[in-house]
Amino acid sequence: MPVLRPQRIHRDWPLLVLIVLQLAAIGGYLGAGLNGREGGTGWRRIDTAELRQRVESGRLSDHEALWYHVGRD
Amino acid sequence: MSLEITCELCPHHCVIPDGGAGDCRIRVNLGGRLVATTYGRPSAIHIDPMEKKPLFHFLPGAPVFSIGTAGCNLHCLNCQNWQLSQKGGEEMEQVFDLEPEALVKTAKAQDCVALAYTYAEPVVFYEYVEDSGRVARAQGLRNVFVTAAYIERAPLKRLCRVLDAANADLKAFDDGFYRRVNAGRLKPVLDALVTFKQEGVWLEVTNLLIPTLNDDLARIRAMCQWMVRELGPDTPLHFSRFHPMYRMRNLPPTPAEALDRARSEALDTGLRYVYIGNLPGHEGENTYCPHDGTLLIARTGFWVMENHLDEEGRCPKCRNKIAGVWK
Repeated sequence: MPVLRPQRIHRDWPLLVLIVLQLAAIGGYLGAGLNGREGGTGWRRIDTAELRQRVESGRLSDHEALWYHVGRD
Repeated sequence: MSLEITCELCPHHCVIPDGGAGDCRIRVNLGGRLVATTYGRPSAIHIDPMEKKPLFHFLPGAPVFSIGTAGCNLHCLNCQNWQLSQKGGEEMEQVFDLEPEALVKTAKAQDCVALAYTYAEPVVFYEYVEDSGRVARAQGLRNVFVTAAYIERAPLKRLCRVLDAANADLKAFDDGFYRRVNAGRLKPVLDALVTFKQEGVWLEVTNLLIPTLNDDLARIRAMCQWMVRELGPDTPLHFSRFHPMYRMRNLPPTPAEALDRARSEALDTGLRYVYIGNLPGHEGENTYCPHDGTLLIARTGFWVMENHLDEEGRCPKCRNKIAGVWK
């Protein structure tokens, strides 16, 4: 079995750091995947000008929705 | 003055700035007022047989006037209707102008017995469903809701007043699956299924079986045991075959054997009506009497080939009543 001599570790430390960082990044990625993200993204940016134009022309509706309140929870 | 809006319709509870849309893309904050932009503006219209919803214990073979608008509050990697569901109203080329009264009038002119709110996710066009449902009811039509059931309890309870039947997806009995594959959570879905039942809406459940992701028999068993306990053994369950779609093209279609195993497991837990979908010609498409095994309704794909139930929905042999809405 090969033995890592002190002088070899000294020479290869940048490589070892790189490997450790890569393992941490992979672990973090997998951990995030396991936990998942909670639900949606909250809100979405849309083409508001196009939407307003369609609402004004009647192609889309201006009907007020239910189940909302102004301000944060 | 803050013009931020919090939408309380679904469990996302999106906080939407002025000019932005909710996660569903179609509920938009315009000047501090939340607008349901696809109200009366469906992008998909079709007449389907009831079996396509799928509803197998609700008016078999009946023609249903089916509509859907853009938008969805889930973002399933395997979405079958992503061209519709993952777009906002301002991105759709095809949008029909069909306010509730006109919708019901058109459905009746086509001899349909029900409206179905389907194709993408009707939760996000909630107000259109409620108003159309009320008009439809008044004119003798039934209302069918085909949904992923990602909705808060209070709005759903109110909507149930106009709904007659629902087919709800239970995508997996696994919160991690919901978070990874659907951008949602399991608990609100389970709560919604119970609400449908409590509010007297005829409920059938669909589980799309995806190889390696949600086909574990132990989890399927746990899901079916939950169904028996919380929804009752008469609640039909449809195991549906997965086909590679959208952002999930790396997995093969579900093998028939996997669907058979899931069905056997479900029947073993005590569920009485377990079906297999997207596999035309399979015996799992038929309804059998849970008491004596008599073939009651034979189906091929979405079509009813034979129906031996009497008008009251009884087995012709043992005379036991089969759960469902038959007329």
